[in-house]
Amino acid sequence: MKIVFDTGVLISFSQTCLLPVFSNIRDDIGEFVITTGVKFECIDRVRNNMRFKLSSLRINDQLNEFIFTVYKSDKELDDMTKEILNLTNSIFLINGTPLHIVDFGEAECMALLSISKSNCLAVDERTTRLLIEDPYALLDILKRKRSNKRIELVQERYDKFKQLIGNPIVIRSVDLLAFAYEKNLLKGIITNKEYLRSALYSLKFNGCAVSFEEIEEYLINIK
Amino acid sequence: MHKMKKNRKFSGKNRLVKNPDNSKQFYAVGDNNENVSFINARRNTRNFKEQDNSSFGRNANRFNKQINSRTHNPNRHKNNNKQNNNRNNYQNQNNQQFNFPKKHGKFQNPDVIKYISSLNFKDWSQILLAINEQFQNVDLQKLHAIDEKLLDEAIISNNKLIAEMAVIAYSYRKLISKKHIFYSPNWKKFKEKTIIDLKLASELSKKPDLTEFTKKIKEIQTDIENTDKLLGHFIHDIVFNARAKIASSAYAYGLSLSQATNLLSADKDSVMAVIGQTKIPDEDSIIKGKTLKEKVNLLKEMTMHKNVIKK
Repeated sequence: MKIVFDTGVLISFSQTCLLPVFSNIRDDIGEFVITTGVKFECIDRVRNNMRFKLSSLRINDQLNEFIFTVYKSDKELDDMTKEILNLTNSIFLINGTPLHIVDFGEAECMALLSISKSNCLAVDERTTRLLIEDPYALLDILKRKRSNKRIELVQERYDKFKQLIGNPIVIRSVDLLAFAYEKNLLKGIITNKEYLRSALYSLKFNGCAVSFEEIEEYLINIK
Repeated sequence: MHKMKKNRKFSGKNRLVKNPDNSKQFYAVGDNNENVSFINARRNTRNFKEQDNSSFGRNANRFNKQINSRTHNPNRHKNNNKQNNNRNNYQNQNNQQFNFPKKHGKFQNPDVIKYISSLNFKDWSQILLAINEQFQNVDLQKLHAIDEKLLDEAIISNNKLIAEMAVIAYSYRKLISKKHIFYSPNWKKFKEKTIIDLKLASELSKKPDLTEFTKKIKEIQTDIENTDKLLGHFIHDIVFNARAKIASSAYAYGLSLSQATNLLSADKDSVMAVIGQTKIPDEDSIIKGKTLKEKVNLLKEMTMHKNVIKK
């Protein structure tokens, strides 16, 4: 199995000091791939910012240890990224005007998902996840915030977008960590349920889109 | 009261914990060391009045319930809590008295709504003058409404310059709200320069070539940064925080993280940290998607399939 990673998951794991978990779970899962855009966002861009430099150095170490493979940009990826950007940014219309909801970072990840025939995307943020899994839920969110505007989803464009990226599973950092715990891959890092609970909350507080309710519901059945 | 303090005993759930290095003691809430609530991580001393041991125990349980598992429950304050019920009633009375219309889940002052609807947000010159006016009037509510509306416009038109104006309005509001900055002797100079700069920016926005206008906006932001560095208490300046905060609002509106950070020229790390502190994921929990358990099971199935192929 091949997982394409977005910047958010790497940042969440880095901020919570859980990056070493990746080396434990990679053998069981398969290959972890990132784009050059993701590498730039989480390593090169923040290299001169002392607030985030530690995080960038930690992620760089993971690359040096070959935990992640960097997919170098080529024409095929660039073309696919442009196509996905065009499609995703015209799926939702506000008063007839296309709403620009996705940027280059996520579009490149989705393009890589399509090109590399991988079936799993790791992304912590809500919009990309809902765009792939449930666009009508995203429409509800957009409507909730702008009750006075006419917002619609163009089904035809969404179908085209789905044809391009297929039907991948979208996972978050909490899903990955919980999976690793259940598979007993976190020996020496997360030893019991309370550690797991704390780690899940820590990921949540660092930006992973998961609710208190969801974490607690999950932990009920965990020993 | 003195006697009570002297004879204070703590039940199993609330106890005084001594640090091994003889540093300051702290109160732990929980049955044992493994089950201590994370609220204690930030609280060294109790911050609510205790009448007796049992009331502290009840409050502690309530705190744990709210923060650890029941944060999503909107009715949490209403359950078995007379004091909170009274507070809710008082709030309701107040809301009825002022009759604030509900917009985006928040109550807004009708004057502010009227003022905002009178502005044409396509006319940048007018908006900059409006920011200038409210800055001089020290009207935090109207400045806040302007920055919210500017963000909305920036999202719809995907325009970075409008987003920058939202950052300016937000930063001014924050500067005004800080007593140590507002009452500083240096404030007068900054205020005079700001008024002139905003008027000039308003004039420059009318020109077809926006290069000078963009420069002026940057200059205004640099002035805010320098003032905050000079008079503020925090390492990270107001503009940096404003970008992260407004980007998190853009994310809440439905933009992706990259799009929100790009629009506001913010750092992903700082925006994610802000999002983590908000209720955005909890508000979205009403959306029925695949749960954590289901996702883990899916991952298990996929890896099982891969391991079978390996063998």
